[in-house]
Amino acid sequence: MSVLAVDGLRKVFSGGRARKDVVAVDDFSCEVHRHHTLALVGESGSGTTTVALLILRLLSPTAGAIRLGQEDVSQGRVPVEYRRAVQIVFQNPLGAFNPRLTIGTSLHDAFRLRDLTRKERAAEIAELLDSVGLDGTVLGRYPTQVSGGQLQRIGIARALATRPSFLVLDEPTSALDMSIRGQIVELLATTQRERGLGLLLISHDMRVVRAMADTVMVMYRGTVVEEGEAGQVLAKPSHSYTQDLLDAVGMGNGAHATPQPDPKPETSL
Amino acid sequence: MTVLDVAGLSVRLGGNDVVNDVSFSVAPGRRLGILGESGSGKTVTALSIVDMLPDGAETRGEISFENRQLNSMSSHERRRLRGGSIAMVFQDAVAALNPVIRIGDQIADVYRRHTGATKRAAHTRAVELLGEMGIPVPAERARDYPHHFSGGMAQRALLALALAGSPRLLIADEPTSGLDTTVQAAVVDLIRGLFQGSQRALVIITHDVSVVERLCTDVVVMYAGMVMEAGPAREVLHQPANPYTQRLLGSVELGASGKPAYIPGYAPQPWALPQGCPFADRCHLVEDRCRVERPALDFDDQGHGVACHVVRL
Repeated sequence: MSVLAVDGLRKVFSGGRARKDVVAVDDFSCEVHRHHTLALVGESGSGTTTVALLILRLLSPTAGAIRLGQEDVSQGRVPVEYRRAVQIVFQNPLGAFNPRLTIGTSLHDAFRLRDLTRKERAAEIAELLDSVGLDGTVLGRYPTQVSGGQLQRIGIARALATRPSFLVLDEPTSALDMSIRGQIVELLATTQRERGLGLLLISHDMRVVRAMADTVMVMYRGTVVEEGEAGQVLAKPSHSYTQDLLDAVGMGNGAHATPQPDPKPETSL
Repeated sequence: MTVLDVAGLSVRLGGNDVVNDVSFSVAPGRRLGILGESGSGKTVTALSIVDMLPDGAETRGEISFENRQLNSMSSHERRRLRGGSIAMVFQDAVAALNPVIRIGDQIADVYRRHTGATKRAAHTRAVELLGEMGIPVPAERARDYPHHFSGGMAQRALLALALAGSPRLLIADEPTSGLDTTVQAAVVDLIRGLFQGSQRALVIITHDVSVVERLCTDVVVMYAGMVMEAGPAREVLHQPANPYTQRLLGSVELGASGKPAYIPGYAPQPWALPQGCPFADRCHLVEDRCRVERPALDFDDQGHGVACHVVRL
């Protein structure tokens, strides 16, 4: 169970009667080991989020295999062990929590995949909150009553409740204020180290990618256009689109000063 | 002569002081950035200018447009200004456009309302404006509905709509925030092109330092409803004096370790504003005085102002 391996993943959204089918992801393969961070970079419509949803099996692939250990979980019913092992931290923490439940209730809910007594759960919640730098005072509050940065910490704590070995991080900092993004990056790095997590980081913020990633894959319109060791890709991007992304945050060498015209998104979920 | 004058603006919303004693002014041809993070009061400040605050908001202070006080105008008068002399664009452009009316017709409608032009002339102008906003084949795209447009295109269309009434002041609330990074850069360039060398004034609300850097002549830095620092953008961005501004600018860059720097702690919630400086709890230079007394904004003779007990210009 030490490697999450994805092979030849393809997802086609049927366009319905009059419209063309959309190939959102085509021939995507990757491996994520524990302690390892793979960054998936691309803008809206590039297919990164579809890859995440497929790996989480919130969508079923049209073709391809998703393996954790020996078992292929790409089709049919997803084993509970897989659900426990692979969790997600969402982009917008405010949208990821039920606004009508207290944070305490939401956290208790996250333990449903594990057989614990209420007391054991409470003890583990206290531990989790401590590990993300918070304390029990947030439990009685509702999601709108804490700040965005605090809520994202709670989102991370919730993802850890099942003791996963892999986390999908879908733009974990982009909904947060600039002055606290680094806090979350640091927390994720510490959490990864302590728990030996494998991370699939989806981001278009190259600063976060540089801070966290071991390897980088750049997606454009459903396919991987560049992949390699993070330092290599960021220092010497071979694809012009990667260069544009770097230029956009002032990390490029300026070789491509003109940004591309905005492509009309071809996918919409 | 100034286009916009905001003097001592305070806004109370739902029992919380969300804007506290904010003052700034904008001269023709200037581009002011209001820079702040969530909860800083930047959007509420913008909404007060266009009289679009939610019901129940209590405001104090004065807002003048071209030396005419907006507070004392009738709502009818203010409505005439809005969309004409004062226009606004919003963050979510697709939501700001009417989903069931063709883009060109929406722009033409604004143009007719403010100029009394014929339908045909208004349509021609709408296509022209879309073209000026960098939309390819504008005559064709004018017939599209908003959902046919990508986020970047919709923001361009919204700019065309806002400029249709030939405003002398445009207020833009995070116009690039929902867009992909490469598209953001293109929209910022477009806005700069529209304003550079013109007498139109711009107030842009943003959390993004790079937007201020690329677009603005002046900047007001807000935190927890208060102006922390203000002045010429170059001055403030390159020689920030307020500890908050310094550390905010620092968090945009990568530290030596390759990890993004950050400010520890969180901004105070609006219902729990401290008595003194709102940044005191996160500030590395904090002194006893900071916790009891709110610092006032003091300006030097270059027009650079800082609100801080510890750092003086």
